[in-house]
Amino acid sequence: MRSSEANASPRRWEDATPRVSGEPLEQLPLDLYIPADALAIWLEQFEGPLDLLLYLIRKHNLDILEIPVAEVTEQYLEYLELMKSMAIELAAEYLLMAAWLAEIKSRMLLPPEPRGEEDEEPVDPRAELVERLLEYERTTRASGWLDERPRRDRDWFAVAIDPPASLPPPPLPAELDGLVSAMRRLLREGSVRRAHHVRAEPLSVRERMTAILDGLAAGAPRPLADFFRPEEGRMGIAVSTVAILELTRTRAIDWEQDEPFGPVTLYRVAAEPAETEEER
Amino acid sequence: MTDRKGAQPPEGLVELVEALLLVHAEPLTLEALGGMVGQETDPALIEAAVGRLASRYESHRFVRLEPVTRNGTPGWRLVAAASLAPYLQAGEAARPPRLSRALLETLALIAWRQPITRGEIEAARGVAVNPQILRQLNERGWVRSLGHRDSPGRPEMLGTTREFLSDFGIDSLEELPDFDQFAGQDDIDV
Repeated sequence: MRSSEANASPRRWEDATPRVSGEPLEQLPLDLYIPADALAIWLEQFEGPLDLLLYLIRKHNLDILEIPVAEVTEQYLEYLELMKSMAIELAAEYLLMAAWLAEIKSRMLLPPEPRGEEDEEPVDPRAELVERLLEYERTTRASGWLDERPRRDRDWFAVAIDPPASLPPPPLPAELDGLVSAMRRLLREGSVRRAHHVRAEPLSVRERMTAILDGLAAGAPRPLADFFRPEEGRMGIAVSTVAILELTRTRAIDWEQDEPFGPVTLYRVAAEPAETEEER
Repeated sequence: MTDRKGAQPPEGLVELVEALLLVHAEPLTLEALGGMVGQETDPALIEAAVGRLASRYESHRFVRLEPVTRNGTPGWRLVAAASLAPYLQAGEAARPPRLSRALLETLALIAWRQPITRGEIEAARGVAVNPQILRQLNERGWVRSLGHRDSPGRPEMLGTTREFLSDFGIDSLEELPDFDQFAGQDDIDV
């Protein structure tokens, strides 16, 4: 099935036998019976060394927790040679992985290093690699899960007609003491009403941080009070407070108060890493 | 969806609900609809109106009334179904419907592991993050900066947006399956 005549770049395919390190490659790896020009495309599909390694392990039905390092290293290098021979530009990450595999392989040959405590298990030199492979595998599955979700602009399209005129601005926020007394009342009510409930906490700081950033996305400062929803009770106020503090700490947002006891407004800090810490 | 016995939506309510759904791309909950229609209208009537509307749209080939959960409460929106896609693509250079593996993996890491830095994404995937991919994720409005971490170099932390949740039909981040659930020994297809 080799299409050496039809190939667009005959120079590379003058000799139909692929060469690895100058030696003709007599036998392709067993799972590689693919037309030669498709091979390059196939090899380029790997998302990186972890992907390639995971493929090798799965392909040969190896136990990921008990990787035969010598065997896998050999196969890995074989694929690297194949890629090189196909003139695929190898990213440095592939070579780094090769070095890491070689290191693990050599450390497997040495007696395990004793660790301080006697009863502690010696560290398996493969442990970190296994962990990263498993983590990567989870990532690929998670991304597959995402891809299968019905997605906007692929599986469905939003329907929206623009409403006609611009709407009148919303009324101004309440005065501070009104807010304080309202919050006090709600805190009191909230603590009375919620005392008996035992249930999973539906509020999350992470979600709230997202909501606050969304609220400030337009760039206009908004009063602090906008971000407290009294109907969420005491826990809601706590979650909002923690979220605002957290966002302030990471400098995603900042505060402003025009006068003592005046209303506090929040605004979004433009993302620029140039600001230096030394200014203090 | 069927009308409840006795809940006859008054003249014009079905059309009003339809118009409200038409001008909102985001889902509307019963409460949101109630707030716009007027508090004096019985929610049961609005629900009945939505039911009417749903059965009306059942015969529509391209648009449907879709129930959506928003913040744990049921809501609805009008969407154009995938059957419209070929026509849209014939008319203009639509966004390519396929996302690359690199983009999806990066997005998955940001979604499940946020706040996450670029360095952590690179460590998890074993390759450098292509700036093009982060740009694409930004352009689609799925990913944004969550500020900078208080550690040397002050790396930028990335997280997902509301738009990401809405575009993938996810109600909240809590609805994402547990990351460890994706562990397993079954074979992956290459």
